[in-house]
Amino acid sequence: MTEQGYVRPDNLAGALDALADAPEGTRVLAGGTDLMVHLRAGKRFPRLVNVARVSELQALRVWGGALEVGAGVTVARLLRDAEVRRHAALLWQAADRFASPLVRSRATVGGNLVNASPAADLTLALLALDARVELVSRAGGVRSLGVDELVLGPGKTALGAGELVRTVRVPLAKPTAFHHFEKSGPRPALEISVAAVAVALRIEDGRVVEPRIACGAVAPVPLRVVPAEQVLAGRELTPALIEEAALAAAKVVRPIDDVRATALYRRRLVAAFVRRSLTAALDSQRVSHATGS
Amino acid sequence: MTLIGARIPKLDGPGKATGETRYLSDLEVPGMLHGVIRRSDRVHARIVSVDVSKALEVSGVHAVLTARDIVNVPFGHGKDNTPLKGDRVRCIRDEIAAVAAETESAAAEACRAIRVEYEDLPPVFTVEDALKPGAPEIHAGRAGNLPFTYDYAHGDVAQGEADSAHVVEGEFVLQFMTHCCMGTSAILAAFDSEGRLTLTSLTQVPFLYRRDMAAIVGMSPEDIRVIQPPIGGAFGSKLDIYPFEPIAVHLARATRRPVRIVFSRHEEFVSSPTRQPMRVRLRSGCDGKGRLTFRDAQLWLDNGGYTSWGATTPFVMMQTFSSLYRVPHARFHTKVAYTNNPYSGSFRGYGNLQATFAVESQLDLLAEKVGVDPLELRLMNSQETGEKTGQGLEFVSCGLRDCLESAAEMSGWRAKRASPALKGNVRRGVGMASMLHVGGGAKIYRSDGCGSVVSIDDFGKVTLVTGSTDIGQGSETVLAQMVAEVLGVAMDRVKVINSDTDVKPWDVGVHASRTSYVAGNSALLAANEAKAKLLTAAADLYELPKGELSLSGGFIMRGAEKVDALDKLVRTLHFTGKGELLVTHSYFEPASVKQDAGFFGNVSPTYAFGTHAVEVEVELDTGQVRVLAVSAAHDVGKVLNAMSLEGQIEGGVVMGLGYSLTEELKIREGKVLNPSFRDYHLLTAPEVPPIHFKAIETEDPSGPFGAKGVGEAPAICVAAAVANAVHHATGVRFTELPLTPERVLNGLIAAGVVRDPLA
Ligand SMILES: Cc1cc2nc3c(=O)[nH]c(=O)nc-3n(C[C@H](O)[C@H](O)[C@H](O)COP(=O)(O)OP(=O)(O)OC[C@H]3O[C@@H](n4cnc5c(N)ncnc54)[C@H](O)[C@@H]3O)c2cc1C
Repeated sequence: MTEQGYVRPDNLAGALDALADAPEGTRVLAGGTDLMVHLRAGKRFPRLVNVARVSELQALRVWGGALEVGAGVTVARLLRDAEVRRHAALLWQAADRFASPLVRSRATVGGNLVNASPAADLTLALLALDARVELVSRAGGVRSLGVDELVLGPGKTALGAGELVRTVRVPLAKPTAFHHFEKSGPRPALEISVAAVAVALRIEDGRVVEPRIACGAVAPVPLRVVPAEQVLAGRELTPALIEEAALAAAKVVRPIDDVRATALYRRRLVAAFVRRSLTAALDSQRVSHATGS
Repeated sequence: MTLIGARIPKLDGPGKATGETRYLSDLEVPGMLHGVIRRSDRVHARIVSVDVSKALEVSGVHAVLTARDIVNVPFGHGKDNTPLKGDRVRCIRDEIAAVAAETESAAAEACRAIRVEYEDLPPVFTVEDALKPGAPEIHAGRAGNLPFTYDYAHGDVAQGEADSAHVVEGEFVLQFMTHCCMGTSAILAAFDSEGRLTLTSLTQVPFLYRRDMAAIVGMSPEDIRVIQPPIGGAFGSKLDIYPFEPIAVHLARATRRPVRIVFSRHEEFVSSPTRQPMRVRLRSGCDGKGRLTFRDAQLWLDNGGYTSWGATTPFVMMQTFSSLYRVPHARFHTKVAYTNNPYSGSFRGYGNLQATFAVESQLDLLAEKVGVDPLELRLMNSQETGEKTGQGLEFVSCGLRDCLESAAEMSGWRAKRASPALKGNVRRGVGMASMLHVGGGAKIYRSDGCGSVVSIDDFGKVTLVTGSTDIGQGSETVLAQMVAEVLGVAMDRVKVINSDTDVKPWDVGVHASRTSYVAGNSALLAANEAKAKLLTAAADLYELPKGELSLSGGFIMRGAEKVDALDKLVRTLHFTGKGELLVTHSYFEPASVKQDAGFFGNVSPTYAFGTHAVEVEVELDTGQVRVLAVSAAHDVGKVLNAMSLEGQIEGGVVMGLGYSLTEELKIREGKVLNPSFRDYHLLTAPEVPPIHFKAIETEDPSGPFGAKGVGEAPAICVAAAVANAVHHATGVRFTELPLTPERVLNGLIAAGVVRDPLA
């Protein structure tokens, strides 16, 4: 990399300037836990814009009815933050199952989104949480996309030239919310998901409201399994319904065989994880009934 | 005794922990060039042409060598490998050309610029296919692709069958596994102005290496000096010579510059030796009570494209089939076949993980048939001190029974075995397995000896020059302890020199769990002679009865009274006109024998035993196996250093767990599918369960202070114990490793233990 090939602006304006005038193929460098792997594999980028000093990407607060998470927030910070745990338990759980302490201390939310891996855990949670992603550029100002509008395919996003991710806005969880994250792996840490499932729903008056179920590593992008959500919506959670939803989810995912697992196993995991998640929801309901809350 | 059995930190620990240690990949010498190897893109092909013209144009390139440029001497156990391949490639590792350049990137660029034209040949990927009549011949003139067979028998298996009330039979499939040394393969080759060659090498066998390397590169062994730098792991992987090493010598010769080759991690995964994969068909029998009657084993080993030490693992495996527990009748037949897969080398345990997996899995099956607890069946068949096995192995000390009972006790065996725990989606179980391994080397060459020189300088500093090699296992520390103990000095008064063949005396090398035992005994001989010399000198000088003198705390003592300081006595010897040096030397040859053509004979002077009891948890909906605890009891003869022993046990257990649960180098059609730590799954710290360890001290009469080797032992019986525990938990018997969640779930579904989550 040449001198001009690496810049480290001090603020957002500087970062947007560096991106605006940049040659094609320029990348933002955040934690580098994906980018360095690509570099090692021989990929070359004409310019890297290191955003480590851009404080505007470091927000982490409750603001305007949402949890605002700066793109530069690391997984380690998510884990330490009580607001995250309270208002976006699903994101916290995904962070808890994320890599090793070493990687967590560098890996960022923005990097997870823009790397656009089908196995990206935070992205999966954000998809289930119906988060909005705010993009900024010098020329185009600010625009906001849903996670499924941002992530288009493996390594492919809707990010335009000169754009970066500034923040992610996560709607605050209602008191009736239930969140559950499941991830496979022979190794609990340091594992690229063979399959993962993120579930966010509410239980109101004994019925499932606005269920969102996202499955990771079983399609080219983190995938919402809408037919399974439709099975649940407005219905009372019962073991039979859980079964039906689990099978519906396993049917719509589109996994592949690769070096980590076969498609068949991934499908079985999706069924198992949806079943586990919803069973946990059912159990939590029983607990709250029992305690009268 | 004060130092023996103590917890003494490894001497090389601080340097490694602080990053001060310089490994071979850190080493640069003036004028050094970087060597990079161009390997094959095909698994089996004729090389039509190699065009290096573009490579020579890359700036910074000093030499590009192909098979045409060197005298390509065949080498290795099968004499079927050559440094560079000229007319044909037989596996994905094959070295076609090599470049030496000013920088590694220039050398790599030049390698990429080499044009190779191939004509594909029909490939062979399985032993079954390789042995079929009319199969493509992988090495011309080696008809039938069958370079080696091994046959061993004692007793009469037909009689054993007749004596059996129960017989079990099954097939076990063992995977490719790779060493994953943190330091990748490397070498630095440098000629001096007189044509002498210095190899800074990671070899485990420096003296055999000199001899073999000399033949490959056309030199006399005495013109080769081997320097052994600190090493980032070996585990057996450096027991053989691999093509990159003579290639470095040829590059150094061609360029008249020092040349260093360091593998990338990718290259390490694709091109370094593996644990020998195999298929094992085993029949075992017992009588109505559970006493073993016979074992009949047939093995098929995938030799890959060339022969390295993997092909010789049957030597070790047959000991387990013949002698792990009392087996009156045993038979063992192995075929080793060429394929176009990668080839295997030596790897901690040397086939014994594979053999033990089969043997110990079937012991549980027999126990089930008889209706006795697996522990009882094992105790019933366990040997005792003084026994000689059907293969002629003599157990001068044997703690197997103690190992079994201790492992059972530590694991809470009886209670846990009685009722496998059930908790919703999770089932728990316990399983055990034992192992037998050489504990004092193996006489595979005419000598299995080791030389030592002990000297004491005029400041009282003791130097041990040992022929042996430290590959991180801690031999340097333990040998220093032994010498310090004999000479009555503190650890920091002893320096160990073990890394230069121009200085150190002969030794076979570091393998077969031999160093503490063989090099230890050798160091003791020299140290005891030095002690005798000191005491004689003191007795003469001070006119005291020698029998009343001893060494302690750096002094010559007579009872509790200090006679003289060690350093002062040595100075006196040097300076008072007597002119005597305090230097002694020794050569220790263990009382083992080279086995006969039928593989009979006591190949090691002593044997190591161990038992592991493992508790697991199996998730029924995902097939995930979690190991909750490992209880390991090992007959170590005598604890020399409690801390390094624990380290050795824990490291071995973790390696065995990796073999059991996650590690597999996935090879499809000869190519490596997972050449990175992302896709090759080593266990990481959070997955390592509590490891309970008990040392069984049998005080081996021939061992140094009673000790025997344990270098390989802790890795050996883990997989069998894990599989037995999974069977206890789920009722399903797994005969193929590793026990990945997917494999386990498939097995649970096939056995009807769980229903298909998709059904
Ligand atoms: C050992 C290891 C384990 C891992 N385990 C997991 C795991 O368990 N789960 C998981 O999901 N991932 C895992 N990963 C992948 C990686 O850590 C995550 O994807 C991480 O979130 C990436 O963040 P980063 O800050 O390191 O991104 P970087 O590597 O810096 O960047 C990744 C991509 O995002 C772009 N980018 C970064 N920030 C912005 C921004 N603000 N605006 C626009 N583009 C941006 C970069 O240009 C680049 O294309 C692992 C990686 C490693 C090396």
